[in-house]
Parts: sequence; structure tokens; C-alpha cells
Amino acid sequence: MPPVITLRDVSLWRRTQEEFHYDFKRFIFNLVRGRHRKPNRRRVLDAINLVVQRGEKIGIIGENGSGKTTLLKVICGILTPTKGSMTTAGSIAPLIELGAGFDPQLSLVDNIIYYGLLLGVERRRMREHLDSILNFAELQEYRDEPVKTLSSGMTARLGFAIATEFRSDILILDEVLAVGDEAFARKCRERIDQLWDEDVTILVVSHNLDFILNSCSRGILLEKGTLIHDGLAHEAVLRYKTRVEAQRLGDPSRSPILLIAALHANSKYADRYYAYFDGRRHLISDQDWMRQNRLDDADVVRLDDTALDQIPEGEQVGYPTGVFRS
Amino acid sequence: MSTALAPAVNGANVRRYVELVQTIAERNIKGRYRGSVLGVFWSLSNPIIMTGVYTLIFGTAFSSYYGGSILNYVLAVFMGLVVVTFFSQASSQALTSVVANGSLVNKIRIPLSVFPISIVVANLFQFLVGVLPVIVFVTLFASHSLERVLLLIAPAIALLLVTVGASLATSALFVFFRDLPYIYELVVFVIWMTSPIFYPEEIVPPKLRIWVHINPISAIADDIRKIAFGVSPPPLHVLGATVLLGVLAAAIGVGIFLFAQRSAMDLL
Repeated sequence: MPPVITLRDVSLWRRTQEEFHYDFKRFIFNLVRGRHRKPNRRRVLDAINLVVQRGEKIGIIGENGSGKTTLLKVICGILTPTKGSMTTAGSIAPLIELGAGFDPQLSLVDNIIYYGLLLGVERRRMREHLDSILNFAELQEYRDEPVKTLSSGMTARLGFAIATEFRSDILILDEVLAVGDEAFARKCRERIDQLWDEDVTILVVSHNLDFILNSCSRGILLEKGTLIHDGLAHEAVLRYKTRVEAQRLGDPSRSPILLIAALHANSKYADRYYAYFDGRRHLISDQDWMRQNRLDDADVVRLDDTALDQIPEGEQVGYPTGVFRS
Repeated sequence: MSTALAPAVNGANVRRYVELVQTIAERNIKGRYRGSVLGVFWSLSNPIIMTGVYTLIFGTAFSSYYGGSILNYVLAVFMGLVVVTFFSQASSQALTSVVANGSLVNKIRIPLSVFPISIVVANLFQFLVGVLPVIVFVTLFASHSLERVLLLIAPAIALLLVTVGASLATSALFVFFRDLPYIYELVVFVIWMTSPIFYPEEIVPPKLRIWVHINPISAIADDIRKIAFGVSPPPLHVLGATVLLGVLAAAIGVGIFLFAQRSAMDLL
């Protein structure tokens, strides 16, 4: 079966805003005085290669400004790559910042139909689903009120209800998992879990690393627009934590490293530890290597060991357990 | 679907485009007339009141150029006004449309051009139900000729094309130049004053008269007047030239829009 998303060498340059005039008069003035400069461009995605198969659940992680949302926008077709090619097969439902397209003056019913049309759902089909959407959002009694009468939580509920009403082949989730109050958030989780079981391809951007670990099979780590890890979600989270820890410790010469560890998962004190160091994976039980890098057990900093219990017995996974410092 | 190249022109894309334009235009009209009893016919009140004002002030002074008839002056002013108001209202509203929907186009894949186009469509709807029947009625009443009504199609198409061109161009340029509304206001004023709307073409100095003929707005207004109540309608080649001006304006607008669109997303 052909992949649902293929990105080949996708690079994207975007104009930086700081040197920008926003001013016609100044533009003409500079042009006349020969002071016109070409606007600066910054590379926000650098030669990304990504092939996604049908039904994969992929977590995308990275710091703010690393290009996560930009990557999603390229996949949605909102931004066009400067270089490289992108192809998708099937319908895409974007779930980026719920409620962005609502007109506060118009009624809920009008907004639902309008929003659906923007997402590419026909008017007639949208009418058929009106009640189902309003019921899920628990907003039946507001159906003819203008959207501006809703609270922000209610608006987000409506957005979520519309975007998840229709089954699409690819679902894009950008930090939208906590919507509304406790009860509704649980409802959302149930709906998403349901999608998770189906054949839907899901790409999710989240800073909630536990969510990525628990829900995604594959993890992608972005740093400054470069894809630096594409593999198991656990490994991606681990490398991300390593890098965050490296930055926290501040001094790059101290080369902080993080264990990947615990291939024998049912043991809390795994017999084999791995470390990411110099961009390679090292077996920590290799005492020579430890000595070489002037490491001993005292250098271990535990990050997270509660999650170790969740790994099924005998499963071959990497899992973050600690940080070494040299 | 491939986004590496420009989106393919196929049935599904065209249908989605049309549906988007229809929806946004409809919402625009709904929003504009909510709570207004006069509804769409409100659009007629503006040119009617302005025609009244111009007639009161200039009517007697200029009527000699219009065969000594105040009524002819009134009709000429009205025809000119509806053309120039359609153009200036649609293009001024379209100017901010892309920027106003900046957050939306960053969330959902929507071709940027649907926003100015749907503004033009909303204004066109208003024109078709409000102003056009009046023009058709005057034409039938003055000429008793159905052919002349058909001839009206030519300047109407030209007006639509010029407006589409200006709307596309201004909406795309506003993304880059946020002081454009002030400049465009001036441009519209110049077009307004240099078109013989409320004064006769004859008082324009002969040296400047060439501008009156290449200014598409005045050419369109002139054609409509001559078709509606002129002694004889303008010959087909004159109407053809007007349509050609419209095509040219639309082509320039599309060109500017396509050029600006490439980096517009970076500034929205």
C-alpha cells in the first residue's frame, strides 16, 4: 500500500518580519534612494524526509520554534515547500487552534455550516450532522445564539466537536487535547482514543511527553528545522530530554548524556543501560567506555522511573531513566 | 494532491473554490444587512441621495451640456455614480480581506484569492438586485429597444473585470504595505474626480481628455449612458475596446496577486 504522506527533501524558507517595512511610503523612499534591500529569509525547515504509512500514530516533539507546527502546516498544504516535494493521499482534518474560523456575530448553526464548508464538507452533509455536533458539544440550547455569547471553553468544545465529527484519513492534532472542563476533556479523550483504534493516520504535536509516550508508536524530534530523530517514540522523547538537559546544564563541554536503558523492561534496575553520547548509542555496562569518559554511577540523575512499570515484560524498548554528566 | 507545484485545476478543486466563494460572499451579505429593513436595496439609497445632491448643486449649471434637460443630467449622474461606487466600494472592501482572514488561512488550506473574489461577488449580487434593474428599466423606457439591454452586458462585464483586477491587486499588496488604505483612498479619489461622473466630458481640457478615454471607469460609465439613453448606442468596436480595457486591468491584477501570493503567507 502506498504511503499516505511523503515528504522528500522538503525545505522551507520564510521571510523574517523584523526588517520589514509594512509601509509603502518608506518602501518607495528607500527605492528612490537606492537603499532597498531584499527581505531576509530564514530557513525554518531543512531537507525533511518523511514517509508515513497508513494508520501510523506519530508524535512530533521539539522546542518552541523548532518547526513542529510549520511541518504540520506543510503537510496540511497551508504552506508550500520552497524546495522538495510533498504528496498526501486522502482527506486531512486539521485540528489546529480550535475555533479559529468562527464569526462571533453569526449563530452557532451558521458557524457550524460555515466551518464545515471551510473544511471541505458539503452543506447538505453538514446540515445532517448539525444535531450530532451540537449534542456532542453540549450546546443544543445555544444553537441560534451568536457565537460571541459562548465562553472560550464552550467555543473550543464546539471547534473540537466539528473537527472530529467527520472521519478523515489523516488527523492533525496541534496541542488541542485539553479542551473545556474536566468532564468534557474526558469526552474528548474518549473520542480521540476511538480514532486511535481505527485506521486513521494521526500526527500530533504536543509538549506533553507522557501523552506522546503512551499514545504514539513513532516519534519525530525536530531541532531548528532539522529532523534529528525519526524512530520509536520512546527514543525520540529520550533524545529530546537529553538535549533539554544539556541546555539546562548550560556548559556544553560537560557533555551531559542520558540513558536509554532498560532493554529488560520488567526490572526497575535494568541490566543494560544505553547512553546517547556524541550522537551515538553506547552500552553503559561497558566499563571501559565508562572509565574512558570518566563516568560512574554517581553521575546518574534519575528523570523518571515511574513509567518503567508500564513497560510490558520482555518488551524491547528504550526508555529514559537518567542523566550522566562527564 | 501535490503541493510541490501550483494546485492542479481539476473538477474537485474548482467546485471547492466556487463553494468557498459562494459561502463567504453569502456570509458577507448576511452580515452586512442584519437588522436592516431596507436590505439589499439600501445599496440604491447611496447613489440616489448623491445624485440628488449633485443635481441640486450642478444641475442647472451643466444641464445645457445634456440637451438642456435636467432629467438627462440626473440619469447621467446616476449611471456614472453606480459604476464608480461599485468599483470603489468593492475594491476598498476587498483591500483588507486577505489580511483580515490571516489567522484563518494559517489554520485551514484555503486559496487566498477567495477572499477578494467573494467580496466582489457579494457586491455584484447587490448590484444585480439593486442597481441593474434600474439601469435596465431606464434603458427600456428611453430606447424601447431590447437590443440595447443586451448591449449593457459588455460594459457590465468590463466593470466586473476591472473591479476583480483592482480587488486582487489591493488585497495582495495590503499584506506587504499596511499603509495602503490611505494611498488607495487617494487613488480612488483621483479616479472618481477624473471620470466625468457629475460634470460633462466637454469641460475637460482637450489635452487631458485622453485620460478620460483610457480610464476604464469613465469608459464604462460612458458606454452605459450611451446605451441607456444616447441617440445611438456606441458601435461594437467601442464596446469591445472597453471590454479589452477590463481584460487588461484584470490581467494586471491577477499578475500582481500571483506575484505577491508567493511570500504573502510569511506575513499573515
